[in-house]
Amino acid sequence: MPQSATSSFWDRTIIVAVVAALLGGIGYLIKEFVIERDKSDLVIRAEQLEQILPLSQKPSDYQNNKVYCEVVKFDLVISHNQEGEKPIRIKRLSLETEKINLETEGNDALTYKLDASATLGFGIVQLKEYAFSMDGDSVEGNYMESTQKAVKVNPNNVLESTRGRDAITIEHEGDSAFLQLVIVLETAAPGLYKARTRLYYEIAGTAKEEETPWVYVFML
Amino acid sequence: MGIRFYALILGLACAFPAYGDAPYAGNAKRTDISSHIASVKDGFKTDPELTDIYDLIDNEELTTAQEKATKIIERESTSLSSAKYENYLKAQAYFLRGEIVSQRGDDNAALEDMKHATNLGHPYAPYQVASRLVIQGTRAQDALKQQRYLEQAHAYHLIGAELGDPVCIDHIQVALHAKQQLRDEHYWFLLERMGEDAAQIDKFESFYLQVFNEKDRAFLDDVMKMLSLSKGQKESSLQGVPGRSTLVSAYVDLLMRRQLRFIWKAFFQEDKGDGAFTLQEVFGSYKSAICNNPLADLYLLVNRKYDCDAEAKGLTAEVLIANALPGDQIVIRCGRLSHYANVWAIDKSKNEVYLLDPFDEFWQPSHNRCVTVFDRKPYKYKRHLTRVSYAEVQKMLVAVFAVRDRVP
Repeated sequence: MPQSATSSFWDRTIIVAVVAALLGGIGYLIKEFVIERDKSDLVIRAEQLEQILPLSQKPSDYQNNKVYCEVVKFDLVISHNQEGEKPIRIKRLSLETEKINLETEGNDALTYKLDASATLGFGIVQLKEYAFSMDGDSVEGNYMESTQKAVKVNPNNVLESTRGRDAITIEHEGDSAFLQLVIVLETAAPGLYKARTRLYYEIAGTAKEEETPWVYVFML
Repeated sequence: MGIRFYALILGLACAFPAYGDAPYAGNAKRTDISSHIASVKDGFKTDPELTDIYDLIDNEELTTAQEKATKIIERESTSLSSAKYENYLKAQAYFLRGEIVSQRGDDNAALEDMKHATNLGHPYAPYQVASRLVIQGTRAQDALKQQRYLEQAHAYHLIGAELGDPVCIDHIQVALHAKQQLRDEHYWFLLERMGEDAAQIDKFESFYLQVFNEKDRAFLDDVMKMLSLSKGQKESSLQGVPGRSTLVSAYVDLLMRRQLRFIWKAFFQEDKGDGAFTLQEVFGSYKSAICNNPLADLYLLVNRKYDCDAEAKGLTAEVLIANALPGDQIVIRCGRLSHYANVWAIDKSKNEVYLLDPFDEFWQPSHNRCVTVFDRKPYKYKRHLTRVSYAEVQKMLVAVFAVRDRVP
């Protein structure tokens, strides 16, 4: 092989190696500073908590937490944080409940009185709400589609009963950027209960979960 | 609009003879029909096709109105419409077509249409049928034929009377007198008296106390006990709440019959409860309606779980339900769902409560976790009663609106 040909071969090899290294570096930089700067995530909030039954006497707080009596309703708002463009797949929404042993904790301050005169009577008009009744350790869920049709809701997978088992995708913009559900918590037996929702979701293959703060519901 | 008005309107419906319904069919005129639709619109579902027919009648376009009515009568029921609503529409269409053909001079066709309307539960059609049969009877040459027409007319008057139509109550009372059916005659006699205005009722009460002797009054007590829906006079076991006299029992029967007439045309509208009335407002409205009768009053009995300004409060659910009588209204609640219904009959031994409740979706076990027993029992004239469990009603009971004697 002539000397000039050998030199040309090594020159090309070096150039290819340098270009490859440069491309690798650029790729690394893009990954580090562009892709990873997509901070897409879910925001989950319980909003507009409302004491449904009118009270003439309100209970005191429980360990600095507001206590609702017998029925509380709130909007569960799940939305894209819009700090990126990645779609987010909601895999499961569950309701976690716990009955608090008041006897052990010795809390006698919880008492209330329902106000019959302000009670509103309108039968079944609150449709499309996820209602959960808590009775000791058991929880029953119900979703009224219409006055004629209601379906049971599994508290461990709230959306399954109404939307099937497919994951729900939350996009970074448009109508699919949020999901809003009305949640009603009811006590079916006396006691102090706490409940919260937990969301299981996935962003670019990474599984994550998030929960709302506890809501306290009491029944004499 | 819709269900949130139900409790208020039901009070008005039973306290006033023709609230929210057609004026007496016997005198139905086009202007009356128009005013009927205006009141129907206030809180009830009204089919646009029916409104069209009313408008056409108003504009004297009788041929088109008749065609439209016929179209409703002949069409297939749609899956989107409930059987009850379709039944209501067809009954109204028959009734209106009967009115139209009657105005055009075809009495036979009018009679047939009114019979169809009656069979579908229209509360004012029975009087229309009965009047036409009476006319045919008077025209009949043959005495046997005449008798047959009058017997038929009697049957239709009875339907109208059972649906609280005062004209029919008057007719049936006269007919029963002629037949010497004393008990039945006096049952309707008392209902007719209780349907009069306050001055007349006062006058009748004086007559009842001063002219009737003890034996007469005992007879009327017995009549109401045997024949009434409300089961006659009742003593009260509650302090501050009187019982029900025989005369007030007759008034309650009249109210129940008016409610029976009303529920046929009450339909559920699936709207939100925004602007719903409170229990206190509903009670106040119903009370002022009941107080049109100077002998009666409405009392509020409340479960001890609740605070409320009431004639009887602090009552256990057991005492509360034990004091509910036919013709009273109950307020029940399960979790977030509150509801009003009218008591038709109570049988504790069978664990049954029968309710007059046009919006009985509330009681469906699929919707209401407090309910396991619920069914609809067909009643007369295309109405139904809602059967639920005494024990379950007791657990849900918030309050009772009790119709009782007025304390002077």
